[in-house]
Amino acid sequence: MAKNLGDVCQAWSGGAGRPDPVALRLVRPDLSSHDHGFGAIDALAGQFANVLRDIGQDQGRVVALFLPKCIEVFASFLGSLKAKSVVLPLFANFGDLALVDRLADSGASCIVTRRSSLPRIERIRPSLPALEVVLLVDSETDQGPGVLSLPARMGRAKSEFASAAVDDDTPALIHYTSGSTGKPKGVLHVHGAAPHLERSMSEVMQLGRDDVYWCTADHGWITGTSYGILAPWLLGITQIQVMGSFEPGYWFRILAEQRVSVWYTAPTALRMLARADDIDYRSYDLSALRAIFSVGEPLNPEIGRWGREVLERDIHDTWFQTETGGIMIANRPGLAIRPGSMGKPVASIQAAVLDDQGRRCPARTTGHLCLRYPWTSMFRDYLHRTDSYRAKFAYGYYDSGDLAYEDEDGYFWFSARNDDVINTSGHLVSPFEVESALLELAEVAESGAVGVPDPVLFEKIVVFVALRKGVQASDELRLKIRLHVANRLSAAATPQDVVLVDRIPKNKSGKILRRVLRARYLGEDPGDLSTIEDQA
Amino acid sequence: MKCQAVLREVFQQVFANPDLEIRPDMTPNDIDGWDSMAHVNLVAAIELRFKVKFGSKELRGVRTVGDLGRLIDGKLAQ
Repeated sequence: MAKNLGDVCQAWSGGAGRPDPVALRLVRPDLSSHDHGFGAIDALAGQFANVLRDIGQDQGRVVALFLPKCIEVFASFLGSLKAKSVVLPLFANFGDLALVDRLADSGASCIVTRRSSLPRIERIRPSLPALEVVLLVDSETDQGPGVLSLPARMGRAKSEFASAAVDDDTPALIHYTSGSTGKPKGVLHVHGAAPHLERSMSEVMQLGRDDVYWCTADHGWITGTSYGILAPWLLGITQIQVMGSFEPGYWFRILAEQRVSVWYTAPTALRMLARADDIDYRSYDLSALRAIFSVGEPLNPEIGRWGREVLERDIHDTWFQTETGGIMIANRPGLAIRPGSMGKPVASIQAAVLDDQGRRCPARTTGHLCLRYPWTSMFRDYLHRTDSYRAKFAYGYYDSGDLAYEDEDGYFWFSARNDDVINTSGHLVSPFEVESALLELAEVAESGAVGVPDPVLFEKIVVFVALRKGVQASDELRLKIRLHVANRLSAAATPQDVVLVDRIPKNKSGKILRRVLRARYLGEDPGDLSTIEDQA
Repeated sequence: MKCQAVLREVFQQVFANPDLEIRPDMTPNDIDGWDSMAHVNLVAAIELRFKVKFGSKELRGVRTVGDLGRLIDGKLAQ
């Protein structure tokens, strides 16, 4: 038996007649805020679980959350877990194609969303045969068959809910991750994840009950659920969540006015802050800020220097993946930072750099970054792709797909991905998905997408496009290409550069030679071209 | 905001929503998908449509649709 993850707030609620400690402070775009206690959130989650049971969406059904940051995200996330439904948190700015891929593959039967998203859901509904119910968080009345008002049902639901019994391997959560080929893969996580989440957060962030913690990740990504919902509340920590979007001055007012003491953010956000040279960061009172952590892509040494010079604090970079569920390798207070390094493995995690035969590489020799399994927060399957899941394990290790090296003192250093997946501003984007979206455009005959180094985004997406005969290139067409990808996938997948070419280089079996495209863009030697198809 | 009709078309194109209506008081929180990354696309579309160029400092004070409209009106008046 495992503890139901939906009950994370229960242990910290004040109980009858006692104050309810603050679990969540939701900061609105105008910087006003609303506090929610642990008991209050647990009660809302109980109501939501009762709603799911009443409408038959409990016990293994997949409940998708397609919402921006709001209290309903947290209530429905925990309530779904209590009811033993499997939660599918989705990035609120996903485009239609990204939505269909995830909703259809997961077999989601319920979507929790807003009225403004309903036209999009209706548009893609023919591709979602498993979808039975849409719950609207901002409608007081039902909007038709299968389109129900959540507030109306929550108002009638009891807050008491006896959470479903679960074991360590009971499915809890699905996040999708991109690969270099094929559609995104559904990464399955389980209720038994809690021990690693709790331990890793304690060890790396060293939080206490007096801390105010801010994780800036969206709940549509693993960081947003592991360290933006579950881990802090497993530890009874007060966290803030922000409803407004990124803007340097806004974020620094939040850090100052909310007295944030531990801040977990992304290197891209830090790079954008460092470039906002008309803002005097020293004018903000950051005296409460004890520690800064980052995750998503490697933190460049110059941003580490900016942190020390301007913010007068170290920035501790951490590393994990959707598949690992929790932090595996990290810099943390007490461990001397080597600028550019990922840090050292957290306690109970054994990381190793292995060669192609599963042997440990000598120090400073690049190889496959692998992790000895199991650990409690590790994924348990790729939905419908168990063969791909099994292929990630060999020699007693999980292969992360990242290439790295270890130095003589046990620090790990990221080198590159072992595939064509693009890491742009902390979002993993599949070149295949970008290329597929581009081929939907009538003007496009062929396409190829690659990631190239970028000083702000870590990697930027560059697309190569061969236009159909007779189509004229123009700035309008380039914009159309950018917007089409943004709207079909997400704004994070927007191509930053569109290169028009006559043909896309492919090998004799038709595989796009992305290394050739990347080399051409960077003006580098494309290497062996003997496998390239006849271009005549 | 003199440019509102054309600006509405730009918003509709950028956010792939032909029914989207805009008001000067609208903020990114009122329009689905208007995050910091979509904002870059919005600015690129505005620059192309209105044939203007913005500096990053000019854009820093933009909080609402009305702010954008005033910025465009100012550029067009130059």
